[in-house]
Amino acid sequence: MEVGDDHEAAGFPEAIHAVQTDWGLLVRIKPVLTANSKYLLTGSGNSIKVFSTTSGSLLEERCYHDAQVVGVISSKTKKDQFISCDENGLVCFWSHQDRKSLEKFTLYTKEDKKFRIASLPFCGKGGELFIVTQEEKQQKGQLRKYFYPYKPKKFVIISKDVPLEPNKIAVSVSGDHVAYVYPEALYVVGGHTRRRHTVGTRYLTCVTFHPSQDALATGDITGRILIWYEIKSPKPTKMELHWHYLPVADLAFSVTGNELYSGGEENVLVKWQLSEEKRSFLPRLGMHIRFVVTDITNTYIVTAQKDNAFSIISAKKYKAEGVIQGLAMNTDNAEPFPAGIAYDPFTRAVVLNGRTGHVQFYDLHHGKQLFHLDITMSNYYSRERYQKIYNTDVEKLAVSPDGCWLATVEYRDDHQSSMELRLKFWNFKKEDQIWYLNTSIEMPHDKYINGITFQPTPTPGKTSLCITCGEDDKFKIWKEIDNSDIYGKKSCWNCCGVGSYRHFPATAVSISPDGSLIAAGFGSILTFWLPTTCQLKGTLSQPYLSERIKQIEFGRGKDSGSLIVTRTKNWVCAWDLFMCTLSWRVSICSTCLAADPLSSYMAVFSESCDVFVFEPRSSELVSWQNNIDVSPAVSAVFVPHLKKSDLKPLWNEQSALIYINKNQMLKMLEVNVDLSSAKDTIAGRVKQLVQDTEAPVAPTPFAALVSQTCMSHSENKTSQSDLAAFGDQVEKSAIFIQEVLNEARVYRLDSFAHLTLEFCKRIIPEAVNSEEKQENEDLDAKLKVREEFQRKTQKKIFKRKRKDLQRVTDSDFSDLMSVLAI
Amino acid sequence: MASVKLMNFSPTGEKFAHSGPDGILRIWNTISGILEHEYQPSEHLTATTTCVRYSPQKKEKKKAAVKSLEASEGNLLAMGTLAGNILIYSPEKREIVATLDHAPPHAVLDITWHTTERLYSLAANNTLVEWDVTSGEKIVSVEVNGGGAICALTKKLFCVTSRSIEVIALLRKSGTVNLKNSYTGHTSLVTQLLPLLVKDAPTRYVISSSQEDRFIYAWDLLSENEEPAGSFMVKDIIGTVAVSALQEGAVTLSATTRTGTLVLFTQHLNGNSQRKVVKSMGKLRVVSEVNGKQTVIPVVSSFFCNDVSSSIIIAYGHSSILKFERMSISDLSGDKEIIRSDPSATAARKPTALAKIVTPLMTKDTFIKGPGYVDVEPTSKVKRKHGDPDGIAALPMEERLNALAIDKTKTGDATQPPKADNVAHLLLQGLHSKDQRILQSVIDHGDKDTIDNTVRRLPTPAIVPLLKHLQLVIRGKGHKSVG
Repeated sequence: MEVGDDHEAAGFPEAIHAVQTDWGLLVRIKPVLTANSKYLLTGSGNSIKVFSTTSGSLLEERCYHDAQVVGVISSKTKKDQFISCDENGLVCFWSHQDRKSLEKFTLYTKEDKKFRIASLPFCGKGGELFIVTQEEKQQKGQLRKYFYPYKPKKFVIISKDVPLEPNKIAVSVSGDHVAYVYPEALYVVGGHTRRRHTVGTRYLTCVTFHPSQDALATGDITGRILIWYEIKSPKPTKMELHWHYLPVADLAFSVTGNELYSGGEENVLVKWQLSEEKRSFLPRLGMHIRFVVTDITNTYIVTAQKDNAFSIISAKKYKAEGVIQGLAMNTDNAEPFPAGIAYDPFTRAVVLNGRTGHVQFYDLHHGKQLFHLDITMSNYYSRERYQKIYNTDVEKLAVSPDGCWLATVEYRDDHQSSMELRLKFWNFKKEDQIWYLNTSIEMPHDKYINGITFQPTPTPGKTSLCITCGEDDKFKIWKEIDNSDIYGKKSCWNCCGVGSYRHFPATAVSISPDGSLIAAGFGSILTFWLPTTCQLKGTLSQPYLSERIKQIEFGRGKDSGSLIVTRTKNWVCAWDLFMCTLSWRVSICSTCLAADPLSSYMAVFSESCDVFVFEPRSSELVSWQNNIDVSPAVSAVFVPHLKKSDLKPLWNEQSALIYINKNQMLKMLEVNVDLSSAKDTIAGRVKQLVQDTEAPVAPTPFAALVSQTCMSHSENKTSQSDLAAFGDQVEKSAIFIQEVLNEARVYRLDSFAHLTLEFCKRIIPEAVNSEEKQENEDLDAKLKVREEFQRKTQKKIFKRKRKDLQRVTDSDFSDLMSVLAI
Repeated sequence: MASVKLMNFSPTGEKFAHSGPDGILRIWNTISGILEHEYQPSEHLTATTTCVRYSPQKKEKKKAAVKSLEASEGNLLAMGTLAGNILIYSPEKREIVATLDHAPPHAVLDITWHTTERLYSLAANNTLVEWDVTSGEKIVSVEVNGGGAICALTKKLFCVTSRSIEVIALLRKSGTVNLKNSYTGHTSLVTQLLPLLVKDAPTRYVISSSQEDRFIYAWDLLSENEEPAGSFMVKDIIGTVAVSALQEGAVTLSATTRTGTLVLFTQHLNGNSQRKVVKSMGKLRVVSEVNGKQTVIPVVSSFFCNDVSSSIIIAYGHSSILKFERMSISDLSGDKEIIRSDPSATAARKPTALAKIVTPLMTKDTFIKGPGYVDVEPTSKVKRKHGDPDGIAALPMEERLNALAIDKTKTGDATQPPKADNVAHLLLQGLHSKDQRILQSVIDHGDKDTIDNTVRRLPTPAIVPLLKHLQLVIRGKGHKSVG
């Protein structure tokens, strides 16, 4: 069964790269505003991104670094100069306006490789750089001060145990005092003194210096803000400000120092007017506030939110003016993006989970988010101090092939009250280009919904069917029905069919491209149903495939039309619907499967970040690439290309493959047609997959039975042909059968009666004289007799099969299982 | 229509810029339909905008390192004004990048971009100026024969028109122009001149439309013939014109008309000057329907996406409140009418850079089902009997009961209405209850058919009581107190 063929024979010219199509995580480090407040700079990944604060769009990307950027700050020495620093110790001085001015310094020599830079808190007026370095796997860092011109060895260690987070360490404007918080105490280091002020169990979370006074502010986990005046003295005066009930995430003084801004998980920005003891609030800022930044012109306050967005807030009006939104991160779920990716043909965007309770439309072609669609239409509830509050979130979504319908499943289960489950159908009305809620169904299933899908090609004049499948052992078919009344024409979605099989949970569901067959996975069993009557047509299973079916995709195209591909945790299987057999299976520890709607290709992503492209008709790979990413894909989709390109390989010609990984990055696979380099790199690494196309499904207990039946069938055939002695006609009919077998798409097969007619026409010669007719009749009678006989033998075979099965189930398979385990 | 030049799609079709009569520049996102922002130039009162043009897409440079984002720095907008200067505006930065003074106080008539750095402008004093946008410097200024529209073919070659179309070569050294070719043009002032773009080849055809002409002409720049290589009949005064890229010799043209209809043409241009006038292959009208009354919403502009599904973006609406829709060209053959709600009827949403959260609408038409209300149409649940692989024995209960029933009702009988041609039943009831009134009413029937039917349907046990009753009736005829 294990065919360990080397891959080289196939000769693979292309290497597949995963190219990031979103902006990446923008809120990892504290952003910085330019002097004129027009631009916002932040480090994301290996680059520095420049955004416009007025339009919220990405203006440019500066790629000075080869490693993760850990800090971007403005320089105090030169106007309009910024300093950025990456993990590997490369520090860049550059100007925002003048692209040519760039100075690079390396703070590390080769011996220092075990250190990495954790953050870049400050740059003094004399050009001295404060840098926090981290030794491998240490929780504490070392605060170093480097002097111009920066050399690897030219530094002073200020403190050897500073926190690594950027907002837990602060340097006074003059640069002579450093304050940092360790959970239970505030440390102030200045000159040769080092003072420690303990705060007990109200652990501190953040610290910031006052811009002009001898003061600083700290926040703690109980939400209290302390302002410490006369910090240089041994006994500072403390002032307490308390509104937050959750930990204070970040603090920032305005440029004059009269106001203090604080934010946290309440999604509220609080402005404290220190002189007047007044406070004002700006609620509903999207998601948890991570950083608060102010500018020197006192125009804007920028908050960085956990869902990968910046809010631009006008300081004068104290009102949100704009937003810079990257790909919205899904933060509340343990598993990011539970609903996966869908393609919306109308806006040509991908649809995926966004902010809690929303779905986002992300335009791949222009690389920006279009909008969020509010699905649950409820406010976000932030957590209580000691208790998590669950928010309803979108767990599954599907877009109809014409883009007019969106089906969403929202779910909330706090393990205390009864669970919330809602299926909503949204209609995009072309007339006024607005999304409407059409139908909302409470508790469409009794338990969690495992999957939702629309019929890929609708029958003309009708909307596609929608199918949901749930943990309550059922799948349900939903149909748009007329719901008109005297007030006007309207429609709603209603359940028009339910199917269940042996009390197994319905795990996955799919509709054939022509809408004539439903494939539903019940536990490990693949079942087929008629959509119109909800009648069970057949089941397919293999005793050794006992894993839950996670995904089902129908094959498309000429040779793959009768095939269906299922994905379980460790196997990808292709089943032939015509023969009702397992066509092939391959052992892959997979995370998601995607099928191209425009071609016959499919792609599967593995746990170890490999991608395999194949056609259902054979387990031979069309293309693959190992280690395309660092984190495994969560969901993938084929998105049609807008423009044709001849340079792309066949599988990538029609559609681009998009996936989202566990680190919440949206990536596109791009094929680099580069013969020489690709081959070299692949040859060494790639190993052939285990496949069993050629080798029969031999060592399985079922295989024995299959081969037996095959034998008996062929015997029958030969005897039949002998008796018939119809040489030519039989040959013709055989050809016909072959044709039928080759071309028929199982779920599109003509009625049997129609086929029989055609079949008879082929066997009976064109001109049949009376004698021959007589003969034919005789023959027909004989045939009937034989058919009867055949049926009997089949019954016998059936009985024998069952006996064999009995025997098989009784026998011991330990040796076999050990073989399978390989 | 002077407003033809006041609207422009960005090179990818993602944005649409329109300078309204109020002097405010509005930029929409055509995909989401959101009005992204409004910009009011400080000169909007003194210098009316005459034309708005997006800069072309930056040429993508092949980079060795895999970079995800192409520099989406955004396209610049050039706005020509009546006062004779050109404002270069960056929609992404929301600021004026440069102000170029062409020849104040002569109005700027048309602007064309060649690359992202090179801009050419034509002013009312018959001068053509080449600008370097990055430095804001005049490179060369030449005298031309006057005109209304220009387009840049290459770095040197231009098309300038007033009524006739002239192809000129720019001689930078001497600061003069060299007339290469001249074509008949239109009868009135040409408002639009569009080069037909071909991939990896110099432009060969130019499309032109004019103020009052009802024809669009295509001109072959390679031929010496002064006549157009193709003429397209619109049958109405032409507004904006858009062309698709030339693909395998075929070009698709779209034109908006004064009445707000979009007209589509497809034509093979093969260099021969064709006498025949090309007729439209499709028309599109956008109408709104309020209380059964239809009003036309004018289509103001269109844009060819040149993608695989060959789609077209249309902009429709009144002056500064517009909506956008992408549709496939193949859907637009023949006369087509689509019903859309009037964009001006819905309150214009203020432009905002705020969180783009779209709240879908919930109307009274929304159908909400509570739990337990999931009514399912009865499905015949076929249970297979063990050992019955074909499922023949697995008949539904109804049919099985039917098969068991002795007094089998003929199928079809049940559906027929009961007949009223006999009174046997009533008679039986009368006989059982010995109710004189019922019996009398039965016996009083005079219709022969009814009597026959009643007698025929009378069960045998009822004959004797009937006869007995009849005997009574006959015997006591005339006496009221019989029985």
